[in-house]
Amino acid sequence: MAVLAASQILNRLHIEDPRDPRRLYIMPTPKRSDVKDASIDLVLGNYFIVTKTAKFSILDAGEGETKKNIALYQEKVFIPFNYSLVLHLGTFVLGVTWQYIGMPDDLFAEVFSRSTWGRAGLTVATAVSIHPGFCGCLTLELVNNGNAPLALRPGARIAQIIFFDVQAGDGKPIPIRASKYCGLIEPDFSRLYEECEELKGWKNIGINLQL
Amino acid sequence: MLKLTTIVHEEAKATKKLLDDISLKQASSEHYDRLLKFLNSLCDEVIELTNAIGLYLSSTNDPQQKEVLQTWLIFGSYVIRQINDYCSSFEHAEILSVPTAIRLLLNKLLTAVTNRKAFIIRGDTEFNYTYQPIGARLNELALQLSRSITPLEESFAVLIFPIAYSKNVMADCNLVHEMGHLIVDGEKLTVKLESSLPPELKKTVADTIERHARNGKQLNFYFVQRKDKMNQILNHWIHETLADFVAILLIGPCSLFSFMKLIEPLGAHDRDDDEHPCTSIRIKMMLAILQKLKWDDVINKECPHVWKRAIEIASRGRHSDPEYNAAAECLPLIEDYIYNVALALCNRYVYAPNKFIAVKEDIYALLERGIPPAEKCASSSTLGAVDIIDPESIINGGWIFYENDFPKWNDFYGKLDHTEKTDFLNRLIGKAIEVSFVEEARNKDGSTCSKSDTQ
Repeated sequence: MAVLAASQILNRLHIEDPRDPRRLYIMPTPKRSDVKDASIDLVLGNYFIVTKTAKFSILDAGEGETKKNIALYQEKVFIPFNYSLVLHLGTFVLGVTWQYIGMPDDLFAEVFSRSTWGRAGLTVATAVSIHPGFCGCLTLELVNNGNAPLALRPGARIAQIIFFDVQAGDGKPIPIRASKYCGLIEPDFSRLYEECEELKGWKNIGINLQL
Repeated sequence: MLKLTTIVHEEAKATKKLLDDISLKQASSEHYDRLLKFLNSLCDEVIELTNAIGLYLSSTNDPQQKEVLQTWLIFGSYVIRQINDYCSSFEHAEILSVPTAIRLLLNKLLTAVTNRKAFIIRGDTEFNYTYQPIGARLNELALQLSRSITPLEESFAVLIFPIAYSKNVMADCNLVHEMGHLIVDGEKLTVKLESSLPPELKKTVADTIERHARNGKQLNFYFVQRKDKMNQILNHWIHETLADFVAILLIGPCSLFSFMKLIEPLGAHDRDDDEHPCTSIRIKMMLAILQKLKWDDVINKECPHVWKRAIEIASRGRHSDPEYNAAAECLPLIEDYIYNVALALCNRYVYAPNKFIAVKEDIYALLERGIPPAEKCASSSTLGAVDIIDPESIINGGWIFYENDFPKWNDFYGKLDHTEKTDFLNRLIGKAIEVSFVEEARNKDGSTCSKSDTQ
């Protein structure tokens, strides 16, 4: 896998035929100032999910009430471009990129903090991989690891995306269901509860084998 | 009497607390805050009234005065009950409940056609779109209480959408019709219309109504009553048709598509009423205006089955009471007149087919790939600012894509069922409209990056 340089990214963005499967989409098209040598800066969007921990004890994927607990745990908020959301020390919120990304099936990407924000203590993503065929706004898992509260303003260039060539692309489009978070434009609540069934199998092994 | 004063005082204080709680929520617009402040002032006046009456009662025993004061207290309680009714306006009016794309679109359209734009949008559990004018009524109450309250705009209104559709941007274009009512009311046209009909039309309308009011019988006691009622119905129907025409002028055929989606499930239950002509009449009038604006060619080319379905609905028989026949006969006669009034109301701001035709291929191509159709595809390879697609074309393109059953999506997103595809399409359309508004503003002060910049 080779990292794409700025000119290669722009070549992919500017393929004239919109139906060309090799075309990369970043909507809206990046500004001049957003394009770096081998990455593109991403801007923070308006929707956030903040967490409320007072109403329950634990988020446990193996527990039946997980879906309800997750709803109690998280609250969606909208912050207009002229306002900010304050991220206190050690706090976790979900944000979303303003840009909508449409990946061709022969590119893979990763999202990282911009160092400007990283040095201020902000981590923007833990699930950094963007798979070929993905489309949607990217959910950012924002944590303040610094020593001072941070004001998060929609419109701030907060993250950067780096693209890689995928050599084994077979030219076939990848269905949206490839990821359960595809096609979203707002941050989505964690769907930890969807993993409950999977954990039941392990639980049964524990019961049956005492292991 | 002192007891009554205490009860009204308690009601007012409890309502004040309710308004305080609402004010802590995230507002959706400056008008939301404006209405809240107005209701708060009304509440304060009632509290002051009860305080003053309480003080006065402790120093007098005049029975005549007491009767007057009792009337005031009952009025104060009535105002408080009204305020409580209006508090429902704030339910689901928060910024997260109202689709951002529709809020932006309505603001743009209203700014283009009028300077009267005092409204709030809210969701409701009733599955319908409604226009609720509240400015004049509230001002009337305020005036009786005190002259010091700053009045609301007379045309202040609440536009209501089904909360179940808070993410269905495309269906919510029905709100443009409700906004049409706001524009018509803002110009106080209901009163003007009666008197401004051209003389020959006025005579034809009057003759038609008279014929239906007589109903083949001699003049009798009920004739005048029937005639008045028929005139009243016609006036309401003109108002409704004006709102339909304003919506078509401002956003084109998607107002027909969204209206059809709303009313088609009603089927045989659809009848004329005092406020609205039945669906077949409304669709017939809408089709006529779309033809006048040359949208019929576009719809027939892009989704002919929808045009055919609309004609079928328009030719359905009516099953209505005879008292509606006069208005049903008159309305088509004055169609051109209503159209011209709508055109003047829109300040000649018309969304024309050529605007859509210029960008439709880009919209379809982007939607097929699951990308929000906010920018023209080819424009990104040229120097300078990106060509933004206008929100009206985005929403019309979205509707045509929907009506054509999501072309190519079976190749890409074959595993999604119809509802999931509809939700996905609504997200794409909503995002595209938001991007279109924001990027248009950004393009004014900076340009986007082109391929040639780095070569």
